[in-house]
Amino acid sequence: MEQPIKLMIIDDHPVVLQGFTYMFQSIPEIELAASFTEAMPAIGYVEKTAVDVALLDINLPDVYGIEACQLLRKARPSMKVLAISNVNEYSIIKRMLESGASGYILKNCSAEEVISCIHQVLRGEPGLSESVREVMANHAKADIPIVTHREQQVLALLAQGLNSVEIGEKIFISPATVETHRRHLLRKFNAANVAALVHRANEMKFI
Amino acid sequence: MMGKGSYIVAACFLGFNGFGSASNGLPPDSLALRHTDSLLGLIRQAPTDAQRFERYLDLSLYWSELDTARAFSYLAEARKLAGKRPTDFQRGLLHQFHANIVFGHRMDEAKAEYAVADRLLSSDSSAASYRYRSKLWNNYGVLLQIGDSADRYMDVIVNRVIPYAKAGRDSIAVGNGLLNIGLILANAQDFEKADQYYREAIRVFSTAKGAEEHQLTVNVQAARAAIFARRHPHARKYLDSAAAVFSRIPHSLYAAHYYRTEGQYYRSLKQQANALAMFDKAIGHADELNNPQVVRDIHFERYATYRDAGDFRQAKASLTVANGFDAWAGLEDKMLHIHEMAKTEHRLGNFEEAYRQLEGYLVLNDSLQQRDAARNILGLEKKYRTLEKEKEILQLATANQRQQLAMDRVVLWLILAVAAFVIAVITAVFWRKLARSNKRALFQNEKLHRQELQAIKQKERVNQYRTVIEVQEEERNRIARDLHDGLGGLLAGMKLRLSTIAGKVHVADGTLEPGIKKVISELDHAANDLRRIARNMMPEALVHMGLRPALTDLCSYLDTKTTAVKFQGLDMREKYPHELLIGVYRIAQELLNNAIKHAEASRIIVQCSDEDGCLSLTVEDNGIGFLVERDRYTGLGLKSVENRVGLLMGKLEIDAETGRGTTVNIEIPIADGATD
Repeated sequence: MEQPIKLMIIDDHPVVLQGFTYMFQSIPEIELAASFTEAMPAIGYVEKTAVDVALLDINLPDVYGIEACQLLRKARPSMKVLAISNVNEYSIIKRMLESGASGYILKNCSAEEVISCIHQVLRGEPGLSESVREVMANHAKADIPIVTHREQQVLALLAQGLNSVEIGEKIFISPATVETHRRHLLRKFNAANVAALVHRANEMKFI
Repeated sequence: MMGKGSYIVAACFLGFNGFGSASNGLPPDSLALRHTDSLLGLIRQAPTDAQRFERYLDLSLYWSELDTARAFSYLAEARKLAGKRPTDFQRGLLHQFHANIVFGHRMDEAKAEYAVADRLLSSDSSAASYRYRSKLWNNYGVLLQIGDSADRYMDVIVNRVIPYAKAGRDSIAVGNGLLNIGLILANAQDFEKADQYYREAIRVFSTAKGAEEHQLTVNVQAARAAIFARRHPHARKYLDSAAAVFSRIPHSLYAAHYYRTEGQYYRSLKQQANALAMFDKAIGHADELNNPQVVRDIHFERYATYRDAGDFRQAKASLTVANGFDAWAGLEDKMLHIHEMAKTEHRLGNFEEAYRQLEGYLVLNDSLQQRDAARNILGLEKKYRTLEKEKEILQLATANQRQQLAMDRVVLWLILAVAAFVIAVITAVFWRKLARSNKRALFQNEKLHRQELQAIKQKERVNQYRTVIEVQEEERNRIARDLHDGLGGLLAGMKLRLSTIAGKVHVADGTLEPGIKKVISELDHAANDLRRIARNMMPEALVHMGLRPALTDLCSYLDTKTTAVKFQGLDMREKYPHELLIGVYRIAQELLNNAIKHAEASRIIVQCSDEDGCLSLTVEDNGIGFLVERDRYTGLGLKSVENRVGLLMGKLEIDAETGRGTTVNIEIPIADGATD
């Protein structure tokens, strides 16, 4: 590697900044070009100066990380953004990645992980630290619909050919409530009418 | 700390000269018995029944804090001696000493008895009667102070206690009155004014006989106030005077307080060695007195001394000892200790332990807030009820008057009609009917009034509850922020540096100290704990992403191999009003908590849908579902769900059957266009 990787850090916590500075001192292929405690000055900086990778904290005093990420990408599209955060909530991670971040690492990951994630995003791969990958994997969605007990009852009676009024009388709920359950079932099974619903539910062994 | 001190001395007035400070802690049994023997001796020697009567009262007082049954039996002896026709003076004293016995545990009764006693004693203008009245009023004032009316206590001392003590020529009681004023002022942080009263008290005590115990007390308290005001030369002077008095009464019950204050003086001057020596002496005396609260406080002082000196290992040891007396401490005090412990562990680098302490702190904080909230609501409600009752009476009174006037007019018309025309009888009947309907209207009006009041009251209560909830949520948000920003950053920075160092060592000699690895994994542990706590307090997704992502996250986070938790959101909007957002999330959190913890469910479904201006949340589990049984475990949890639903004007439905699991259904109307 001839040219060192130019890196920028945006984090409002001094101890974190110190930690990174200390870490990158001993790594020749990475050059810590600048560090900021707020997002807006950093955005101003990359508008004028070329930077390869930005490490971006999510909780910043001036702009929330998701917006900051979009602004940074807009200011310098060639620069990769790697989110660093203490938050391991799925929807936040997902939203950061949707907002243009190339990777997401938790702040307590090890020095090696940080460096390997930096290399990954530069190669164009997603740079996710191990614990982030776990969160994402846990979240993998099953395609099987989730059906409540009441809906299950309604489904079974619909399959027998009963209408809303009859179903309501059978399980002691109002026809309007039966209608609601029916609508929900159609949505969940992605069916256009009751016939398609019963067919699909049958296929999936719900009835 | 100041508050405690004031209560100790103020209450000591209960006792009589010389033994006053004993009321604070239980003296050793042998001492009590010796004292009882000497008093019984006095009774035998007393020449008249009237004198024996008062000696028995002394005995009753002495035992009133040690053994109420015994105190009452001595009071009965006194009553016997008073005979069939007691004087007003004697009757007054019997009431006063009855109040003294119930003083600590039945305060309202004590107040009433003191009032009766004062009325009876006021018919006797002897010096003795005034002396008793001075004491009586002081105790009455202490009860006011316990009920948080420090101003009225002050008023009582100035206008009753001191004047009566002077009339009774009891200079010790005058001095004590001045001392108590000083304590109240010092409590209010007005050290300069407090000092004036302390000086006055010292002057009065100096002329009294056998007042050493009181001289010691007032000098120690004056020194304390001077230390708080950071006027060290002043403090030294008072302490020197205290030392001189103390040398004459080396077995004083106030010895522990004296040495503690000496220690505080040195601590304040940063003379650690001297301070510690004094605290050690103080602990010795406090141990003898068998007073765990004082012992606990002094150990805390030791802790603070070491902490200020930067010796955290010793500090921790002292704080640990102090915590051994936790059983005698209040909630706020415990919180202070646990918070200090967390800080100490942090300084010592024991992060895991620091976290455990911090978690303990949060738990205590939670229960404290719940307690305070409950108290506030009770207090507000009581106030409100009294106010409302007055208003209600007023309103009804005016309404009644108006109706009464209207009826009078009807009667007048009737008489006129009868007198003028015979035909008017029919008209009269007609008018009477009208009157009756008017009467009915009056009743209905009254009912309406009452209903309106009920509605206002209800609204007020809801508003109070809403405020409590809002404050609680704000606080949770703040704690979550603090955890992320403060400790979170700190841990992350440390981990980065440590893993860099570990990497370097590894490259240099190819081996890695296993200790370092362990510390790194402990740091990870701490960071995970922190995330879990912060997330419980206030999830990031809820604040920045909305209800659906937050509920999705919550369910997938709780989704484990033993309990499957699935979320289904239907037609949900991106934004909801803030109150609804937080409310629904907390309800879901609470219901999930119940299902996982108490219902032994293996599958839970959370469904949230938004239709026809109504948000509905369904939480369904396949657990044991036995509502009565569950209520016993989760009464509080369900109650808070009910309250939250009520605040959002929603409906709650619980369908639980043994063996079939539980389904909770909630429907909440969404105010139109009210999204933020």
